[in-house]
Amino acid sequence: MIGRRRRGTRLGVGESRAGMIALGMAAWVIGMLWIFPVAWTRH
Amino acid sequence: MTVTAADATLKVKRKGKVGDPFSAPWRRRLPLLPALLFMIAVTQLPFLVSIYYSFTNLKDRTQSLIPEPTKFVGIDNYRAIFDDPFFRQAMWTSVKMTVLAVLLSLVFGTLFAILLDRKFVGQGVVRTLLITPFLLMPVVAALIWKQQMFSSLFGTLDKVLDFLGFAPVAFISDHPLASIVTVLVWQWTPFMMLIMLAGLQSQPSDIIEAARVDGATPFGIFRQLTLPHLRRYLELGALLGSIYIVQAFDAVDQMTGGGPGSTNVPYFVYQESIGGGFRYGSASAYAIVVVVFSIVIATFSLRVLSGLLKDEERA
Repeated sequence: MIGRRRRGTRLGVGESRAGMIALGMAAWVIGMLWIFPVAWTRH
Repeated sequence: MTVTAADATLKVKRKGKVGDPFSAPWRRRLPLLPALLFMIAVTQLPFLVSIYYSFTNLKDRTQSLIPEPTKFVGIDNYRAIFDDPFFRQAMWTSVKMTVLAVLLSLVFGTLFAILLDRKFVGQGVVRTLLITPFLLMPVVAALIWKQQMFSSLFGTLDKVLDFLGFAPVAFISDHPLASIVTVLVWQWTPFMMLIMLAGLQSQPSDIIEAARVDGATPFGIFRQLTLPHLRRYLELGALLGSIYIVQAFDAVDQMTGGGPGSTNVPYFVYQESIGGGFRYGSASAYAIVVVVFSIVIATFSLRVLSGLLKDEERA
């Protein structure tokens, strides 16, 4: 395993990779919803 | 250490005489004088003129068939304020609008800040997406929601409701206050989120990790560690949000034009003066009363806030 580079965010105590991914995806969904009225503006 | 003659001269020059306009402190202050005079001219003088108008029956003479001369009426305008049911209604609407918008913005802002307070792919992009509504002019935000979201003809929300099999809703006509509050919440949530994010990022991570090692649940950590830490930030957000949201005008004007149940105090003062009433004397009295109320509430809130901060520092 020598020389193998660690990838991804380092997890804290009690944090799970799946939980972090789910929260990241939730943040993306909310971000897209929040910008929707602006993005939907017809020029 | 030796004191040279040049140092001694410099000290004398810096000290100068009290009130001497050419002394060093005054030379530093003089460049600020134009800005100070400008601020007084554009903020304080109109306020003083409004106080004067509030004691007169000033009206727009071009708007009446028989122009009345402007005369001093004492405190008649102030007496009439509290007998006016429309003004009481506007005050109540302002209170509901401000409380609902501030509370909902705080809740959403805190939730979004918690989501953003971790590393994930595209964190910066999501933060920008969430902040963007706060960068829009209030009138633009109101028009976007009125024309593209709430419109009964081509509004997105009714199209979604139709797609889901529900009956369409005339949002602005049937729920004017809720529609305005929605726009205010959409615009002010990013502001609250930024304040809460600052609070979350100032929280020491070792305490959270220690709690996790001790087996605390995420909700327990939030309730017993994060929320007490965020208290001062929540108070600051509530105070600043209230001061700004109580002045909301654009959303009311663009979305309902002061329709039933949506006229708040700023819009009421507008209607009383340049918005059709042209009674500048009584409108000034309304405005002065609102300013006094706002100052009292802001002073009280700031004292509470600073008292809480001192308590926390002592603890």
